[in-house]
Order: sequence, then structure tokens, then C-alpha cells
Amino acid sequence: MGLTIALNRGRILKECLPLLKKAGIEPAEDIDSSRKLVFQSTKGNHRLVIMRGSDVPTYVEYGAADLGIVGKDTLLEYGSASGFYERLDLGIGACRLMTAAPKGVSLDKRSLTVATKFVNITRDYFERQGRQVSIIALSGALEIAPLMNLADCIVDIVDTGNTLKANGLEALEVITRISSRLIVNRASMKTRFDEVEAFIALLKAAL
Amino acid sequence: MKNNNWRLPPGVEELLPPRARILELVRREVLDIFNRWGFDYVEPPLIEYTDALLLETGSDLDLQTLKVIDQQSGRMMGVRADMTSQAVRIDAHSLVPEKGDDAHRVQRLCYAGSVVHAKPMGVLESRVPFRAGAEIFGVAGLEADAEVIALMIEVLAAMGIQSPVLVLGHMGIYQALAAGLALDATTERALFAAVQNKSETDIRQLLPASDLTDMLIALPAMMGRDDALKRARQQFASAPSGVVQALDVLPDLASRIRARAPQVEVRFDLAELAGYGYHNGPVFAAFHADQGRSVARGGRYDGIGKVFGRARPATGFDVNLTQLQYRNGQPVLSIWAPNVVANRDQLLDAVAQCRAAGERVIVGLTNDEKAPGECNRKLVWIDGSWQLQAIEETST
Repeated sequence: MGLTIALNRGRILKECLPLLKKAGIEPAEDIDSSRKLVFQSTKGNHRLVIMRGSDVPTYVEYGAADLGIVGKDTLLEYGSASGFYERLDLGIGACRLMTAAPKGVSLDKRSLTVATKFVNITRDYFERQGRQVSIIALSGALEIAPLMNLADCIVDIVDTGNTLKANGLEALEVITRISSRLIVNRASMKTRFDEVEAFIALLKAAL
Repeated sequence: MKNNNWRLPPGVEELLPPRARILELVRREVLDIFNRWGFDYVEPPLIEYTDALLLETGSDLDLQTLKVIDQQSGRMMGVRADMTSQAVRIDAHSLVPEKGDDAHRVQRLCYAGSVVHAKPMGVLESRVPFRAGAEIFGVAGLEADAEVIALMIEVLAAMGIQSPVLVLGHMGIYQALAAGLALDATTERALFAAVQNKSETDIRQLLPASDLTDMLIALPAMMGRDDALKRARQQFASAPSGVVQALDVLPDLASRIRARAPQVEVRFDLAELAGYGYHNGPVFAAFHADQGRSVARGGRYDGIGKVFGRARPATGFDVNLTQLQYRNGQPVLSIWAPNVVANRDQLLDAVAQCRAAGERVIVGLTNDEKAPGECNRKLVWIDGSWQLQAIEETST
């Protein structure tokens, strides 16, 4: 039995498949054209499981998957400090987690309302600055929130910044840089050490 | 009307048969092993004033401790989240040598009981785990570490884990490297988490470029068999002396364990920083292929008793018995004695004999009662005496 690898569907999956291919791990079927969610690898008898990013840490922490590839933003938001090891920075899916507000709006208010998908990261960030903020949890299209006067600013992933610009927002401070990480279940790292290390070495060589 | 509001708090469970029985049997067995190894049983209180529980504000142990206000004194009390700190207090404060006693007397203490965690330690973990542990106070040498590890291995074997993976580490390595960087408390905490998570990227982002930083970045990958130590020696050749000393200790400890328990696979992980942050020497954890996390762990925590007035070298381990018995415990199989009128006196004699031999015997009390599934033998009247006969498994 090979390893079970949880993959973050969407952009990260697209970027990590070539990397996995370079490391010799390929799904036996075409992931894009199949509606399946579990794929056997052509070599090594690994299982690739496609899921929502926010579920990857859960599967790895519970040990249902040995390994996972997921964005650092998801890991920070997941928040479980010691649920798994973060063995490799894959450098893919690179972007920044930033604050953004309508052009010309000052955030020097005493009490700020922030809209975000990243509630935990946002709370930690403003707490570190000693600022009192009200956080509004939204699940997408955060740019609308300041425009509709729901929030003063947003905390979101910024890649090119074009979406922000198109909606009259400007990116302000970088909270952290994000890239995709390879995470490893703690027990798998100990009890399947050789297999896991071999996998990591293959992936590292492909970077 | 039926009350549907009755629910247990999240992460709190009640043990029912047969798990409760198995846990109790396991507890006795573990305490018997501790006793045979010369450890003295202590029963620390379930609640104490927080000052006595070794809680550094904001520490993991502090956040993990459920707190209540004592209505009698107005002081804050904590429900124990860990019994090691209570054993430390007992050694430092309650068992202080009297005049004429040997002031350096070695103290071997053991305990077993429930602890309460304010939040579960990991996914699917109970907030009320049942822990058993053993601690040695007053010995600085590695022989004490080897002794508690050997004891831990024997306890695990009794629980059905014959050949665990034993991972050795040393807190001194991380501590000596971090001390050289003179970090503020927030960064130190973030660094500790990053090293524990083995995130090289996070470590790099936290620290300014330096030789020590490079060593800390290399630390998470220092794991594996003996080759890991070899790599560490090369990588840490110019490291602070604390690192080199710690690296000298590990092969010695490993060979002592291999000599005593050759069935155990010894590995190293120099970034495995066990427990609640009070450890400061060799640390260890036992893993089993079927378990999502370590089944037992411990390490050295010299001088921690200082706050209670007596700094002593100390080392010990604890094991979560609920976790172990659940996965590995086999219910003890029982004997069924049917409810009969004929030859009943002889039947009850036979039952008493079986019980005297340590068997679990269930006597049927009505004619309708059937042998429960846990019974694999029954008493049958054959040729003028009650004899044991296997109960065939009926396919359902």
C-alpha cells in the first residue's frame, strides 16, 4: 500500500500536478475529465484524493491521508498548531495575504470593521498590532464589502491585484506571503518514515 | 416527559462496559508493573490552586488547564491537566527529607488518574484522558532516563504494543540554538511552533540570517536512524557547546535502550520537542503504526521543582491508558454458569473454584437469561460433575 495524498482542488491542483509528474507520480486517469475524486497513481501504488483546500489539513491531521498539498493560507486559518508537519515549501500558488481598502480611505480609525474569509489570520494580525477590530466573515467576493459599506477594509489573497483595482480598492499591507506546502501526518512521519522521506526527496528534486 | 437535554460536553465521554472494565484491568496491570519496578504510588488531588500547578502564564499547560474559582478562599483553582507537575511538587515540597534523612535520596513516584484538558490535545482526543506515569527524582545520569524508558516499553508491551518505534530527541539542542539568538518571547513562541511543525520556510521568515538561523532551519530534517545523528554532528560542528553536549548524550542513551529492549526500533528526531515546555534534556516518545499520535512520551526536566523549594534532576513518562486500552485491550473472556436447579450446590462450588482461579464467571439468574457474547466457555454437567466446555460461536 502506497501513500494517500490529499490535494487541494482548483488552482493549486493545476500547479502541483506537473510537479508531481516530474517527481514520477501521475494519476492513472485524467483528473480534469473524470468526475472521480480518488485516483490511483500509475507508479508506487499511491492514492491521490482531490478535495476542497480547507479539508486537506483535516484529512491529514486525522490520518485519513498521509500527506497533503495545500496553501499556507489554509494552514494558518486551520490553526491547529501541531496537527501535522509542514515539510516542504513547494513554491507554487505563490501570492500574498494583504489588507485592502477603497482608494484614499484611511484605516486610522479607532475601531475598524474588516471583512474576510480568513477570520483567524485577521484576528491574529490585528491583535498583534494592538488594534480593536470587528471581523465580518464572508465566503467570497470580498471586494464588494467596502463598496457596499459593510466593512472599512478587507483581508484577502492578492495575486496580481487586478481584481482589487477593478473594484476601486488598493492593496495596503502584506500580512504574510503564501505558497503551497506539503504537509505530513505526524504518525505517518514516524511509522512510515522511509516511504514518506522517499516521497519528499522525489518532490524536492522536482522543485 | 423524556429529557433530551442530557448530553456530555464535547470531548467528554463516559466509559461503558466492556471498555470501562478493560481500562480498570489495564490500570491495575500498569500499577502492578510500576510496583514491581519499585515506584511509589501517589494520588495527587484532582484540583489545586493554580499557583501549585506550575502554570507559567500563557504557557501550553496554562491554556490547557480548566480553571474555577474556589468559593471558600476566592482563589483560582485548576483541574489538573498533567500529573507530572504534581509529582514535582510532591517531591520538592511534600516529601522533603527530614533531619537525619539522606537529602539526596532518589525518589521514584508513580500515579494513575484522570486529567482534564480545557480543549482536546488533538483531533478525536478525549478531554478527560486517563493517564498513568512514573517519574524518577534525584538522578542526573542517563541510567535514570534509560530506566524510565525501559519501564515505558514494558508497560506498552503489557498493553499489546510489543515493538513500538521509540523516537529520541534532546531539548538542549533547540534551547542552546534559540538562546544564542536572544529572541523576544513572541518570536520564541513562534519559532518553537515552527520547529515543531518542521516548517523550514516559517523558521527562515522568523529569523535574521545567521549561522544559528541556518542551524535552526536544518534542525527539523534531523530525523531518522543513526545517520540523522551523523548528519547533525556535521551540521552542528560549530554550534554552541550545549548542542554538542546534547549530541554526545543521545547515542549513549540509544545504546542503553537497545541493550535492554532489542525489539524496539530506536530513531531520532532532534526537533521533536515533547510535552508542555518544561522539558530540558533528553525527550522521548513511543509510536505505534496504528495510532495517529504518540502512545506514550516523556523526558528529562531537571530543576523544575525549584519554584517549590527544591531543584532536583528529574525524568519520567506518562501514557494515556484510554487511548491504549481502546485500541489494544481484549476483554477478558468469561465463563457462563446456567440457571439450573439440579445439582445447584455443586454448580456453585464449581463457580467458586473458577473464580478462585481468577476467572470471570457469570451465573445465570433466570431461565431466560442467555450467555452474553463475552462468554467463551460454559459449565456443563457431565458424568456427575460440572465441567468447562467451549461455547461454539454461532454464526448470525
